[in-house]
Amino acid sequence: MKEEEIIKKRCGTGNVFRVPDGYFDDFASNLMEKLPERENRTIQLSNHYGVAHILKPILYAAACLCLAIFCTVLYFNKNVSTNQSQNSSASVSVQGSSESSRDELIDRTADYAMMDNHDIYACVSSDQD
Amino acid sequence: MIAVDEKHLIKQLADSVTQRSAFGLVVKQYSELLYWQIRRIVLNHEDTNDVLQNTFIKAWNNLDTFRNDSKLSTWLYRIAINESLDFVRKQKNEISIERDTDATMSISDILMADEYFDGNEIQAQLMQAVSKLPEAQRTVFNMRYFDGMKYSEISKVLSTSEGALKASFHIAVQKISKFFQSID
Repeated sequence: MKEEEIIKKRCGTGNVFRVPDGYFDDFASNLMEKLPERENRTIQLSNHYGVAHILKPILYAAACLCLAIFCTVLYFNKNVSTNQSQNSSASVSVQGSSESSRDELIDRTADYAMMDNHDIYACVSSDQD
Repeated sequence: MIAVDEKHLIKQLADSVTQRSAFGLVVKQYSELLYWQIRRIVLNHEDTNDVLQNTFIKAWNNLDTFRNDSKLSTWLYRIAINESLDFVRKQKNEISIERDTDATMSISDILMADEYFDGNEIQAQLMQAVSKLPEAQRTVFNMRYFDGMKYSEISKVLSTSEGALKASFHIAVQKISKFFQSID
């Protein structure tokens, strides 16, 4: 930054303040004398390197993997069920068509043999006898 | 400055038996760092001394709030800056608007007369220009320009995004440049 460089050239960045002699040597002891008593309480510090902290990324990765597996299984299950429903509807239609073709065949045979319902009944009842 | 392992120091601070002695080490380790940070905002040695003491007393009384989520130095920096800005705010409120204008205009003169100011007139004028900046810009400028702190470090202390800090610093530099152009 051009303006910053101009200020630096003009004023410098050094410390322009000073303190009375021995100020920092005495400061700590003076302050500790003034420091009030506080209840002796143990502080609960959050542990950055605790087990939970270390395991957190692993747990996140595991959760993502589980979600991916779940989605994959769900996707393939859906595909399989769609295929099955397509297959079953196809078989029903095949079965239906085969039944209708059998009826047609019987009708055509009956027409060819010039048999009416009475003849068929007589034929069937004589077979049973 | 005495270098003490921060991890070890924090453990001692957490223990009620070693708390007080550990805090003594904290004061020894960080008093100088915090002093200069406060001094650049407050400007006067006596006032800086008061604010620095208040900073450590506040840290001591609120030791329970330190959760080791940030570095000890970052936590102390934050308290020191808040205390300094509070002090300046109170000081401004105490002075009438008329006197405030005079006082702001004469900051470089006050500094030149201060026995604990080692700078020249231009440096006193820089401190005057910095003191005229809004709080956020002043704090960022001090930390970046004088202490050479990285934006990532300042971001942790001030809990502000790096982008916002860069913008604040840029505006601060522009204002200071204009200030110098106006007095040239």
